[in-house]
Amino acid sequence: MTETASRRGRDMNITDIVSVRPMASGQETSGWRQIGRDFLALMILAWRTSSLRPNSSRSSGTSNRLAIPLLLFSGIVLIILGIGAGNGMALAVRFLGSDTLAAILNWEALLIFGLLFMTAIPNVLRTYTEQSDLRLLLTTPAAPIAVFAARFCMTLLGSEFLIGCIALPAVITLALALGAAPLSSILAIILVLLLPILPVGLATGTVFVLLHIIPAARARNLTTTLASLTGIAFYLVSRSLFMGSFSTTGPVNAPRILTLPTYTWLAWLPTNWPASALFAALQGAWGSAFAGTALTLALSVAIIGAVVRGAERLFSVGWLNYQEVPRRRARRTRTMAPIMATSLPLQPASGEMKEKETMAAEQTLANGPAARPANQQGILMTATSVASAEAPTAASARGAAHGAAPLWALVHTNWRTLLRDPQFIAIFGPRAFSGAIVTFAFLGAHSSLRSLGVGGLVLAMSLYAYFFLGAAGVLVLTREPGGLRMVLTTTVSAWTVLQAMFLAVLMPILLLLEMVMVLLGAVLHMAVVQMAIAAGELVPISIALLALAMLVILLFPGQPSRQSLNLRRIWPSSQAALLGGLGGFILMAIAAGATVSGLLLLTQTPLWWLGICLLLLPVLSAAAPGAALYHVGPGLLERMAFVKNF
Amino acid sequence: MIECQHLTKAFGNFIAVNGLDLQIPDGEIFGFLGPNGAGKTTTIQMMIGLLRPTSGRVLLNGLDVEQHPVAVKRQIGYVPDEPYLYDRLTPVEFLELICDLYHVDRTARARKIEQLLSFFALSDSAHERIGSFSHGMRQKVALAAALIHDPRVLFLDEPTVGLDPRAARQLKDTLVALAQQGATIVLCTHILEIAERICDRVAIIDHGRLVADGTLAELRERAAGGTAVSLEDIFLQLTDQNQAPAPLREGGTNDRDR
Repeated sequence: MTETASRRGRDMNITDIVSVRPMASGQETSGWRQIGRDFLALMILAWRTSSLRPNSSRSSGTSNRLAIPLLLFSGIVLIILGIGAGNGMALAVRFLGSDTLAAILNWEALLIFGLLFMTAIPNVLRTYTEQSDLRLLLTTPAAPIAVFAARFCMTLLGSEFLIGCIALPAVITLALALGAAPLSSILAIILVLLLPILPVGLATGTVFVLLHIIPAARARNLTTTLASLTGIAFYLVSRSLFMGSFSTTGPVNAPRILTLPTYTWLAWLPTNWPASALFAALQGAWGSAFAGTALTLALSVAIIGAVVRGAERLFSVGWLNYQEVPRRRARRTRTMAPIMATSLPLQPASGEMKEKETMAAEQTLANGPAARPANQQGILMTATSVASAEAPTAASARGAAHGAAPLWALVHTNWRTLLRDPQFIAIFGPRAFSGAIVTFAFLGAHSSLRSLGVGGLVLAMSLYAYFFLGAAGVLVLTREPGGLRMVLTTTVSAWTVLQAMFLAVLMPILLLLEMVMVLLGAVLHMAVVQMAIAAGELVPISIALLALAMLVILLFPGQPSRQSLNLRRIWPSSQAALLGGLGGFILMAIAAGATVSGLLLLTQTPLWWLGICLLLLPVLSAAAPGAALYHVGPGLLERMAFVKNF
Repeated sequence: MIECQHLTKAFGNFIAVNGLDLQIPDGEIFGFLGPNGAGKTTTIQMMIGLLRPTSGRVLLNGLDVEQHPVAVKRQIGYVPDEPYLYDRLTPVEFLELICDLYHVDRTARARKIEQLLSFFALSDSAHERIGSFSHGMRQKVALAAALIHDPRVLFLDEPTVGLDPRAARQLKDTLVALAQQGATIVLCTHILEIAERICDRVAIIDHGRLVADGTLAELRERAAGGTAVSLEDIFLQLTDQNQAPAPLREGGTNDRDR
């Protein structure tokens, strides 16, 4: 569109463009064709607004170039794993007979159900309560059934990707390896694609029931906890069903899976209908195979119908719309503003600080409301900080805001807001669950772990640290863009803000890890000196891991987006986990290598010298990312908050 | 014509809107005022079919909003106080989406999108992502989206926030022009000057109850016996936070003035 068009538009009267239509009564739609068109429009919208869409506009906004390669890479890895699993199953069936196949398929169907149900709950919550475009879509004449069907499909897509990449290659490989008829592969594809509908549908239903009873903000916390509890319960039940006594099993007893008992009654569970149908198809029992497939299909259709109707009802009564928004805003206002206002002393700024803050404030104003402080208090704070910047002092830029009070006020605020962030609970719930299972397994296999000594313990705890710190580092940086901008326009330096984020994440997680390590060490009857060495090594490794993850997210802040909170976090989190994790693993390998080699020399080397040697290498390894974060982190943080406008 | 008949919305024990009766004829710009949390947005959400009333009903041009939601939604344009726009879309893509959802004729939509973007001075940014827009530009995109399907009834919640003086003036002129064409416009605003300047009639709601409803002259007449008082004075008098709201309706008197 040209300048002429622009001028022509200004000269135009609105009545030349918009004509107020006379009311035509009885324009009620909605044939299936119309619903289909609306559904299609919404699915196109989902693609257009996804991170995967190539940047086709003239906008200079950063395109998430890593999203597609990462997805492809993950897909290929999962497919390879799936093919491997399929071959493994075929091998087991050849050696142990078809009863084993039934047991494996039943066990896997249950496992997939539990896994998908658990992971679907946070996704469902995000899709229905955080993506506020529903408020826009529901004011349009688009059929609500199309709106909610599209929403359900979007929730389902992630699970379908996962299952499609692992289970599909696995069952096709299995069918080919067992020499089953080609029709069984076709049925297998249908069954595998139907597999996620039941868990995702039930997760959606569970969330809806809770949202009906309690406000969405509380439901978020409750459902994420519920998801973790369900996962734990599922694990315990399936383990006791298939693996027998807890005391006799551990990770070293994995081959026991090949002698799984067959529970025929499991085939009657709806979760296992696809497995039963698949088993029948692989055996050539076509009657049972088609009946099972038809039952699965009917159940899936019924679930989709129930979910769509349930969503329509939930939103039309308005409980969610009304309860959610004001409470969430009120909560943010309560948590951020008073703490900032009361705890952060407005210190006089140096010349450098003044310039920096004035620029930041101007940039905030220039960026418009997107960069405005999150609330009225924030506006006052901004105004005050700009005013205070006019008073020059001799204090250094970094030193001016180096006082302990702002740092600890920010650490405290980060803790409070992190604990109230449902995304934090959604991310850490399953990780804590996995951690608990791994710890449990370690305890079960204590004899083998004990033989690894300090190196094994450090490696295990480093793995925990990797699990928790990478995600937490990303979350703490990207959680509150508005709050971050507000804090950065006060007299507090970017380094203090970054330091506060770093400490807020590091301190509780490190404390938790050290406690778990002491517990493990005690159970494994390790010497105090060994535990002390392991505890000491964990500190620099954790620092290195967190610093690397934060550096990566600061370097690649991701797509600018205000709405799709989940995507904004997921993709940068993947990049951070990949790059930060790679560096972290190198560090862990160095640390573990140093430990093991040190232990080999134990007989000739004095213990105190060994301890120093063991600690020195990880400390040096942690120094590099720590120093990098110190030097470039603050600048990157400001760039992310104001220039990148993430 | 919009008609609210004894409209009530309760959330648990909290009554957000309490027995609201309103009639807004065609071609009228209706100012809907009230303090924060008075129930304005809830009322509007019931009027546009986003919320289901606990009791009472809303008729829009004779159609019950609850019974015929899709037919009603075709007739209305809505600009909320915080419009939702997809940051990853360009204005053209966003307006195309709205056209799809409102089933706007495919042959006319390209020209209409171009005209509306030109009218709101967004032509130069037509192919940039909305995520990079200022608040004022976003507001203009939301206004264009609300108008693109030729609505007969417009609901606007604080539409001038973030607009520069020229754009705010343009919006006011637009609303007046549309009302002259026969459109019904419901305008929620805290900027009383706008309500004073362009609204044909004003209603004030407080604690979910209608405390005043009439033309500005009528409200002045009833509030202070005809002496020249501003809408601000009337508003403050009727929505005193420390006192229960006293009804000021056509043909009635303010209890507090007795």
